[in-house]
Amino acid sequence: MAILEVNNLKKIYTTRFSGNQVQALSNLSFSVEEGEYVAIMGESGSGKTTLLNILASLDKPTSGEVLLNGKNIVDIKEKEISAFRRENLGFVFQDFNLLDNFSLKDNIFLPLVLSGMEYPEMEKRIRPIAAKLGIQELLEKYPYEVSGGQKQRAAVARALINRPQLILADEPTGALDSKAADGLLHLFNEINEDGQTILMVTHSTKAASHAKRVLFIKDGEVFHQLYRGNMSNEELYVKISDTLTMLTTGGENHE
Amino acid sequence: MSKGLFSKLAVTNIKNNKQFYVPYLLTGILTVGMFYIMCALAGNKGIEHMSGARDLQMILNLGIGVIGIFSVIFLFYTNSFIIKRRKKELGIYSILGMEKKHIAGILFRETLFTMLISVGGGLVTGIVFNKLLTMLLCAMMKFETQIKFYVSTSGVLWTAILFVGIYLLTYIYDLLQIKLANPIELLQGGHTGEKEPKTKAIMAILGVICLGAGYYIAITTKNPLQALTLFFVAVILVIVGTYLLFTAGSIALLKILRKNKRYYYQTKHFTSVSGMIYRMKQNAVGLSNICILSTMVLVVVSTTVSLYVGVNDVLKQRFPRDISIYGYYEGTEVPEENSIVPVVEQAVKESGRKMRNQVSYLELDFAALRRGDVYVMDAKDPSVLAMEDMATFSILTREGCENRYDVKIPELADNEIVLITFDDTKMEQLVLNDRSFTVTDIKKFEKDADVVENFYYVIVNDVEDMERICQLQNEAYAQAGSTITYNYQLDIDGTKEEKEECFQKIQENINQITDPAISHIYCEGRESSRDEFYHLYGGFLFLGLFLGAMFLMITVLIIFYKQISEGYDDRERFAIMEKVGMSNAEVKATIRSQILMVFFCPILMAAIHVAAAFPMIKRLLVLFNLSNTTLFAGCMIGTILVFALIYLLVFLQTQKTYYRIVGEQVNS
Repeated sequence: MAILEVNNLKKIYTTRFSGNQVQALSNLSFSVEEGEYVAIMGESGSGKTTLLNILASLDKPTSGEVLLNGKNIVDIKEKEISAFRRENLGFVFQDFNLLDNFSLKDNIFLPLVLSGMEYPEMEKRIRPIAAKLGIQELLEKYPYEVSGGQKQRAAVARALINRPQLILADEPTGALDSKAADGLLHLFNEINEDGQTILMVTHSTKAASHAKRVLFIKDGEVFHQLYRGNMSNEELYVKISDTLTMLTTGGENHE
Repeated sequence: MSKGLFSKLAVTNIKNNKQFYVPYLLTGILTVGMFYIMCALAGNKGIEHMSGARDLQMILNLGIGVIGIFSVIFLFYTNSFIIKRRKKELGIYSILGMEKKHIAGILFRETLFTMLISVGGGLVTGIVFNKLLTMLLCAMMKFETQIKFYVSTSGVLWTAILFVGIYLLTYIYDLLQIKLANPIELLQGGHTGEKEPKTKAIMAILGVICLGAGYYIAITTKNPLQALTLFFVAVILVIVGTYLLFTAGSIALLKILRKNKRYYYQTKHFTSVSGMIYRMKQNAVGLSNICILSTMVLVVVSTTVSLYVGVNDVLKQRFPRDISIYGYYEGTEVPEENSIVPVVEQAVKESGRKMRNQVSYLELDFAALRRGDVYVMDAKDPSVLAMEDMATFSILTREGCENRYDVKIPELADNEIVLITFDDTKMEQLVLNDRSFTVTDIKKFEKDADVVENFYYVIVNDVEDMERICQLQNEAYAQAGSTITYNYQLDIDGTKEEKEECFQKIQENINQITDPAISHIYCEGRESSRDEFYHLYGGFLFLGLFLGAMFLMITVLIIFYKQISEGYDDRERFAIMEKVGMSNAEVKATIRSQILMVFFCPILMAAIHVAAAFPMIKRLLVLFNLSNTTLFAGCMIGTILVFALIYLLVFLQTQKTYYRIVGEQVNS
């Protein structure tokens, strides 16, 4: 069953100064099944960020629909949107987005506190997650006291703690060194194996090679997709590289 | 690099940072203007020749000092705020390949332009408004004089020297800031100091103690003279306490709140408690500044206003009748013949007035030290300084007392007295050194505010009894002993001018009295003193309002800058919270509650300070002969209300700016 369905998504920006119209998404459609791990790849300007913002309900499309579990998130009222986001989506960002004035634990609790959960229940929830992510010892520390990889794991814990339908990850390895990035990607695989649906936007071939399926976006449309099938990470990596080469050099417009 | 480019860059920089520079320049102009006006007033030749000008000059010089000090502190504070905010920009210059000397060159021009605008604009403003303010001052002091437009060269000179000096200092400070930092630090300039502050329990407790001690002194000190000396102790304790409480106490309190999990992990408290911890670290000093400045405004304005408004009360208290004459008798004897009354009567007659309500009585005032049941008079006793054991006696004769107060005293024997008290003292015998008197009756009078502690009227039967007591205390105190005073008070009819004229006449005539029994004599007139009081209190009021305006301006500016800097800090935080699932409304509510807390904490604290200071200031005002508590309370409440209103307006205005800065998140 498709947990996420994106149909004919279109987004047109009007630039502020010249009034020119820029089409970020032209006609984008795809779907994500429950338990899937999908990576979306594309160059800068391909519409990745716009797509993610719409999926995160931070932005509204010009037309088209986004169905999460059959519910069109485009139609959700402004008032309910934050609660919806809090309850159904988990976010992992490139720059972690942890608050410096909260300890890691409080950062992880933030969505739960906003939902009005009781403290003992929060404690119950954080334990297994922290154990899984290996950050039990760090919970009382502050973001500026830990490394990038540790920060990102805390951010993952924050995304997981409200048991979201879907995790949206925006370039999650972008600010990490390669070792920390590897660690995080393995973590994503483990989480996915536990049944968590993940949608990751990236332009790192390495990151994408951990996913079960890779979607390529170009000029606001889905251009191509790759299924892992029985391929190993390495084989998928090569496949992705080839596709990217084809995308940039073999496409219709040579530069 | 060409010099022209430096100047161009400097101008562009000021323009680009206009939201910081416009208030900075405005403050500069206003402080320069105020300083100039103070200087010009103090050196005003026109005022110099008026009566009471000495007091005024002293008051104005005090004003110059206070304004000068605050100008330095304040312009420095503003500048350091701006340079902190601009570190990133300077870092970019550095990355782009400018050397430190180039940046110094740009900063120099920026400071130069700022200085030229502020000092130039300020002097023009000062010169233009000087006449207006001089007129205001003269009106307050009831000086009737023609004010000419003039420019005070010494004022211009002093102002220029002071402010060029201040701006030069700020430039040196800026240089140190960039000298000490490398480009990366400069780039991160806005992001330093985000570590969580430590709890300083000792400092927090010390703060509570300081504040408590200050309040205790303010509330419990009963003696006005003591109040005068202790007032400054209390002020310093409260200032120290305020700083400690805001810096350490607030953080300690917030951390205690955070430890309480059930409280802390609630939507409403979670973000605001942690946000406040973070804020307090950066803003505690600013908040205590606001608090103390607000307190100063409230105290200065309310006291000067009530003194001024209360001049009539003061006069009534100080001068029960239109004219009072005091004759000090030589030695311990009261002469048979009274040489004063006929002279006064003659003078009143000569000036064509009629006198009424004449009161005359003899009085002998002296102090004694309480030792058990005995009141000791001894010039050599060093413990005279022990205020609480000091008693003041005023001896009146039966007749004098009946003249002065509307009471009947029965005839008394040689060693019998009647005691008039203002507290609940009970005694059967009054022992002065080796003499003891039987107290036949104690009358309790309603306490006037100006009555000191342990003050008693002792009513003796007649003049001879009084003379005996005078001898007694003269033996004990020798040179320092008091003598018997003849008090003669009267009202006269006529207008203010006629009364003054008559007073002049009396003064002339009594000065010609040559009575060997009188050591000296002087008289006071209510009407002629009225002018003196207006000169003095008008000067105070002017200075009070002037300083009040200045403190208010400083407060407003600190608030404004704080709000802006917090806006920039909070922008990112709220962006993150919204991404994680905080709704617009929640963000707004959090912002609102935080701003409210930060804003109204200092003024609330200031109001508490003022309330605690109230009893002490009330007693201090007694020294200025103002005992009208209702009036003072009214002035104080009025001042607080007006201040709160202005504060609220500033709050609403800066809130707008704040929302505009954080707005991208709030309104998206």
